[in-house]
Amino acid sequence: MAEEKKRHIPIGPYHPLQEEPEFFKLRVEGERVVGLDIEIGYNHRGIEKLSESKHFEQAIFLVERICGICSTSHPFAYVNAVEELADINLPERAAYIRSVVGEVERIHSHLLWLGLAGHFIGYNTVWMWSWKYREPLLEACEKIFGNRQHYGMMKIGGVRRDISPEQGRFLSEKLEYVRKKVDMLDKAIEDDPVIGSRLKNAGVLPKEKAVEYCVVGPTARASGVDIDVRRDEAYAAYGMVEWKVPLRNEGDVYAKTKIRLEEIRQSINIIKQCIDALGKSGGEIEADVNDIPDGEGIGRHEAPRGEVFHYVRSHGGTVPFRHKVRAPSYMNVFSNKHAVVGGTVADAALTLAAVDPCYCCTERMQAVDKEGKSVLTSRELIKLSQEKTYELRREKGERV
Amino acid sequence: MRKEDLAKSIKSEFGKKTESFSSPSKKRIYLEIRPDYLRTAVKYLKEQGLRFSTASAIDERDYMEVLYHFSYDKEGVFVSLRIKLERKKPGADTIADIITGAKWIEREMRELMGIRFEGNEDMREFLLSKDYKGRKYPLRKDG
Repeated sequence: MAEEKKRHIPIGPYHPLQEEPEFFKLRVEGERVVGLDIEIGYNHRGIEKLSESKHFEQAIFLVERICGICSTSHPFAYVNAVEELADINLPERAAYIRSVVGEVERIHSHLLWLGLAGHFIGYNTVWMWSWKYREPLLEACEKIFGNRQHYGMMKIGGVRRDISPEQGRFLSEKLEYVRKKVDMLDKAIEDDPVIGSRLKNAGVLPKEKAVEYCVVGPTARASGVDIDVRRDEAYAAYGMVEWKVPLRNEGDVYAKTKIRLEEIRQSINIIKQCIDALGKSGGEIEADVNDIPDGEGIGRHEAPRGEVFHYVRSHGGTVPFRHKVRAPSYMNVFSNKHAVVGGTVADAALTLAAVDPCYCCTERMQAVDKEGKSVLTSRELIKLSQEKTYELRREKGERV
Repeated sequence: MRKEDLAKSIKSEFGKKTESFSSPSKKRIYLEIRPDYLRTAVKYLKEQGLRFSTASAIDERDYMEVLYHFSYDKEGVFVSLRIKLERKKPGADTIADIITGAKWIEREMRELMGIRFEGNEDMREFLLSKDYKGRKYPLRKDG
């Protein structure tokens, strides 16, 4: 029998499976992944340096463009940091509105991921339907916040736009529709044995490894690490409404999927309570903000991918002296060093995608043999993943 | 442990090794420690169950500063360890062998701020392009 050679499979930097460029070099022996090298930096834009030349308010618009899918996450954390630095009290009405924005974003971000995951495993119907059910939310974003993404809602001391009762009702109707569809998708994922075979036990990240790599968000909660900035720090309106943090212990792609689906349901609960509260009383949507004094502040937000961290230092001028940004994927992507290794090549692409990597936030797949020659391209890797599903479905007697 | 007890426990553990201690709010603790005490302090916070969130390096022109941010998730408290380094050749001990999740941020601080982490000598490009021909440490005030 020929000796099994160690090969390298590169995924990336430009890869149909991922929205942004990154480079994963998988070291493979036969069908098993035995090592992983990760290179990032393809999208590095020098945001922190740029921020040092922006007025404090301008920096909001700058960081909003770090990400195109969780665009409000960075402004949310940033304004929290500046408000802490300058000891600004957020009006209650603004707190509710901020939570509405954050949660609407969580729902459509998770639905986007669900669609991609469906595509990776060859279930294009899941892909099409998830993205179809995102549309009513993006429509609501445009109607209420002014844009489908990059809403421009956050400002230091408040929010830029109010939510009227009519807009609240419009959003509630869309959420009811989405809730029914998410329940349907959840049941389909639970009931389909082939989807179960693909997702269960794939890309397991055990709890001790999740802690070692300091992962955050659904990646952490799927591995039994009970953290959620919304509950732990209770900023904006999160401490004023009733909701739960889902937690699972399997650490596999299935657990991450279930966590995200449950988070969608919890987000719908949060938004409904916020809309009720907004309908009951008025109030200001922004506080008076004077000059930002000398000092430092930390601001966090639980983005769809996990904890976003901003640190701002001021020397009393008009611009941040230092603005540190740390996105959740920065911690989560690194954990793939453990999650992908030991699995099969066919599962590698799905595992890498399971942390819901957002490279724009972070900074932003190739199989090679020992000589560094490519043995599988990105396209071939997706096909490998999809074909594994078709094979499983044929075994179950389905026509594929 | 409760957040009040966390502050007390840290104060008593670090004692004279603390250069300064401030708690601007119930949720924030900032501790300045001597750089040679960093590893001991990090090990202690890890043992108390704090999660490493990230580190931020700051070029204060006269000196360099690194803040290590830890989260005590149970109580929503952040504990930030502050160390001050000389600006010409700033260096500190690595904590990446104690906390795996700190490996990348040390590489980033080395690349963008020029801070050397003894024990984490991974000199590969991280965020900057291989052919970056700009000034040496872009995030420095003179970078």
